[in-house]
Amino acid sequence: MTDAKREKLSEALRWALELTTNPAMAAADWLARDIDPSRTGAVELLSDSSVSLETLNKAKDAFKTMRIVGEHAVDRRLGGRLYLAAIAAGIVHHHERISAQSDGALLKALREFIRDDSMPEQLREIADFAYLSIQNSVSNNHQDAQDD
Amino acid sequence: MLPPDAGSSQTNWKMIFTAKDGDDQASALALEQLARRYWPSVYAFVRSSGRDVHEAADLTQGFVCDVMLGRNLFHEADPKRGRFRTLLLRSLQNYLRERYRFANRKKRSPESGKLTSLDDSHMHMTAIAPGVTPEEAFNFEWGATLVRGVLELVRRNCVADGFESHWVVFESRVVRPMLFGEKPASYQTLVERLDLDDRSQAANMLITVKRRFARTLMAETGRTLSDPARAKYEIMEILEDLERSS
Repeated sequence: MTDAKREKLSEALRWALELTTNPAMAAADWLARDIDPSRTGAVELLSDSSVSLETLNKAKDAFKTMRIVGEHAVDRRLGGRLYLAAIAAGIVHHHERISAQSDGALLKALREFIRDDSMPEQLREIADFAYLSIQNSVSNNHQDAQDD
Repeated sequence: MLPPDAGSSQTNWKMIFTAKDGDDQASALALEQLARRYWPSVYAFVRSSGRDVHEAADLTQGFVCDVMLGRNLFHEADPKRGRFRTLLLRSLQNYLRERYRFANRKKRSPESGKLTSLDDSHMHMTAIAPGVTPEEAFNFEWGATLVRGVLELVRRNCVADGFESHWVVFESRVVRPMLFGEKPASYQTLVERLDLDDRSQAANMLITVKRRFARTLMAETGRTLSDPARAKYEIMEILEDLERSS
């Protein structure tokens, strides 16, 4: 028995335990660890400012797909939330918009996210910053247009 | 390679009761299934106790024939008195002590029978690393046997449900690396091979099967216990055994 073999076996056993606590979040965490095995889960991946934009893009795509193909409604809902969190993390940590959604659509979705107390605090905070960032940018654009 | 009983979902205790109290045919079948299920763990224990491949195989067969079947170990088994695995391990330790004591006086009786239906390749599935205690090897092999059985069940269910592509993703990314130490197939390879939309689709397909695996593992573990609701704690104990030996 090698350590690698033992670790793989332990990991497989842990999946069953993870699923008993929060099945939807377990699936999201597995997706996150699949993208970056050094992370403990989705919340860590999306809230750490050192995560690259490329990784956030992968996370955004993975959670977008989860939003569509998730096994249960609760999975699809969580997929949607984390998809938005990945976009928010791109804005907050890299000042980049990794979404083609309109300002209005993003602001509406982020408002809902911030109010959703079932979401982890770290992600709601990022959503809050992203919301303010978009709002500022909208105000500045509006001001620029008026000045012109 | 999966063991011949992989995917057997009959409850351990149900099998044990059948072995104890069933009619001749049912009892014989249950005994054989139990012998198959525990063979890899028993072999791993014996091999890790310092015996070479041939001696370990001989002692494993001796234990299965003489103690599990011959002395009908299952008659002593009682869910109220704890896990069958614990009884088995204690009996195995006693048997090895007994064999050691009488090694020079008596050879194991050849008329004890041979389980010809058992696949000898099982014995070679356990690569014994130095420094591993027999108990650790036993626990590891028990966990591995459980996982292999669950994998086979999940594979069958995926095929039955039309999730063959999902299984291929899971097998290429998880199963083969876990069982054979292979490098996981890249998502790009799988996307091309299975004609998928993108990496995200493949990753979500993998998660779907991982979930099935986790649920099946919980259910199958429950089947080995007198109280299936304790499956979570049983898995935690197997994990602790594994981590203690790391």
